[in-house]
Amino acid sequence: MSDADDDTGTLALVGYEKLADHGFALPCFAQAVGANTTYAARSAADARGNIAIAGFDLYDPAQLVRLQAEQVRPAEVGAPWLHVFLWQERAYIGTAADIWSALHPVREDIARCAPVSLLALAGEADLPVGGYARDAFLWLTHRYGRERAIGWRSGTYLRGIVVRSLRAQLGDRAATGPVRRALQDVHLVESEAGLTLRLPETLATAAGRTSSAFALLTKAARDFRLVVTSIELVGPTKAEPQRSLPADPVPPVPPPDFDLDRVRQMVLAGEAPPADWRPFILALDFQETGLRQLAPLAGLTALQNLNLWNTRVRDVAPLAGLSALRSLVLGGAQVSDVAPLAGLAALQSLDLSFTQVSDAVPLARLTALQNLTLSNTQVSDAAPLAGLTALQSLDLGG
Amino acid sequence: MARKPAGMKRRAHGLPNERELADLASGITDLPEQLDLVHVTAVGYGKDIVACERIETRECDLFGRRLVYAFLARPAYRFRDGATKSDQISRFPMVFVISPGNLGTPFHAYPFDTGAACSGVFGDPSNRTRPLEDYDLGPNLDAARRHVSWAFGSNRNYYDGDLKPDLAGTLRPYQMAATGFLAVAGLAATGHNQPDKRASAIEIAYDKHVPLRGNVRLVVLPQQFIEDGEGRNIAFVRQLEALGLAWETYDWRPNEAPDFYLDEITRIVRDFLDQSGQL
Repeated sequence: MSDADDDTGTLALVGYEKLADHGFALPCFAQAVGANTTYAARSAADARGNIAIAGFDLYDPAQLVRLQAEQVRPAEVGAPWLHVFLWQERAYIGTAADIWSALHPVREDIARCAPVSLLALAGEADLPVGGYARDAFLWLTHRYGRERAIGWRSGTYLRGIVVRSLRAQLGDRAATGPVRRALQDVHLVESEAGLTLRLPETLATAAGRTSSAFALLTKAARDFRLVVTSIELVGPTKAEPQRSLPADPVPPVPPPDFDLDRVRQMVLAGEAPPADWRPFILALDFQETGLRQLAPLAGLTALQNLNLWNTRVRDVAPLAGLSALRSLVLGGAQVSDVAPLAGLAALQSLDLSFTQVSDAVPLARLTALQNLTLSNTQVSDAAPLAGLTALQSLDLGG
Repeated sequence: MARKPAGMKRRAHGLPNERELADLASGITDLPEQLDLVHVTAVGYGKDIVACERIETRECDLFGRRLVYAFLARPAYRFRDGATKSDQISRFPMVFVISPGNLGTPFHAYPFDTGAACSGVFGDPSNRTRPLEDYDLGPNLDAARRHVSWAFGSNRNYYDGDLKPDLAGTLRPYQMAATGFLAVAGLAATGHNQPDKRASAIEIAYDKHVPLRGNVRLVVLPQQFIEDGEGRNIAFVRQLEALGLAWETYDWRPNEAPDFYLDEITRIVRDFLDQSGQL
């Protein structure tokens, strides 16, 4: 791709380049209809996940298919992304939602012949995709057999949800070499017991930002009546898992009304989640919320990943019994006493940065710790940490 | 826009090649597993390749011959030089993983993408060192394996582009080709902010067509090709299967950056090489 770009002007969607004879094509832009210089758009997601045009790069299509004059659309940086979707030799132009509506008369045909493309369009249009995902899986099973369909489900579809979520949360860092390499090591392994998420430690500890990805995965897996049974943390460039976290003793399917978003709302409202939901609550993210009280979390003994970054939490005593907890982010919270965490034997990653914590002694028993962030705390004596032999990364900066 | 640096030059006629890099690795006898080769092209060309059941040689201006190009193991194809055909490859990549066992002797092996080096993509580091021929590893696959061992220490490190950390310290100041290679190859390292995997991908060229049957082990293509559409795609997949070619798909979306496809393809090929015991 050329380095030259044009981020300022208003262009027009004038044509497209085909990938296949159906589904999404690559939209091509120009200053005017008939212009020889063409561009491809760059995308960016806003905070709500909406995709917009972030800029234009020079692009020289091998075979530009020009749109009819009435189909040409203005396009500018910041505007919603414009798609081109092909079906039965007709090009449908507009936002994903526009195209979804326009395809109404032929959607059943698409579902019958190209359900993966229909699923992608539904996802781009921000529609509930569960039914379309299941249809695509069944179609692939029928066409290519169950093994291939399972490979698509865990290796492409569900993995894609995790990776896109992680990239969105990591922002610009996702484009750097080490993070790109780590993202390639995100794997989902499907077995009869359920799904195992293999996650590089470097991502699991990147500001503890895996919770949202995990929540999305859990939700999408439920569309197939699958449960995420364990997370394996792997080294930065190793194919084999370094530490295998045992599968949780969970029944195979969560209750029909289980809803991780609802769990989060309940905790924020000071309410404990129902007992039959607790075995399925493996990750929670309260980053930048006003959460103060952790009491509703006290019974979540399956919880492995908890992000409390920049919350108003002072008292961490309710976490004392969370024996499955592997990753805990308290950075920016109002905590000063971490003594209740002393018994969290499974804890591998702990972020206490920007807190009032001054005493590292309670951390001395956390022998599974591999990553510890104490930057911008009051801790001045790191001697109690000398026995943490598993420690690979210690940040005492600031 | 900044002016692109001049690229590496070819040696003037009549002067012998020095092959300093090949000499440095010549004493290595414990060779790593033979890696497969990877040929990346645009979907349009890929369909033509499958239709004629072979990867055909194409005229190469740099070497003045008709050649088939591949990289050892790595699906490297990051283009920054604005070449027309590279736009299609980076936006619509299709990958062929080739077992080199039956292909005979290659025409050449170089420790980086020669086209990129000579067009100045790697910038100054290569320009101030030696002519292209001094980097020639020699026309055989064992030379490539020795280079992997000397420069990277293992196939896995080679795949990721990560050089042995102590390599620079072992070189003498007069070993200019090796020093130049390290400067270029560093652009491909995982730790680089925008790694360009071509910078240390071993380029293997053949001066004859490569038949798909019996040589290509895996094809990686966009997932639209597994659907019916208007009926032609399934036929394409069936054609792959009739040729005995395994296939995998990646998720193609028009609002993803080309680097996303590159990363997906890199992962799929890594998994394949891993499962076949090459990494």
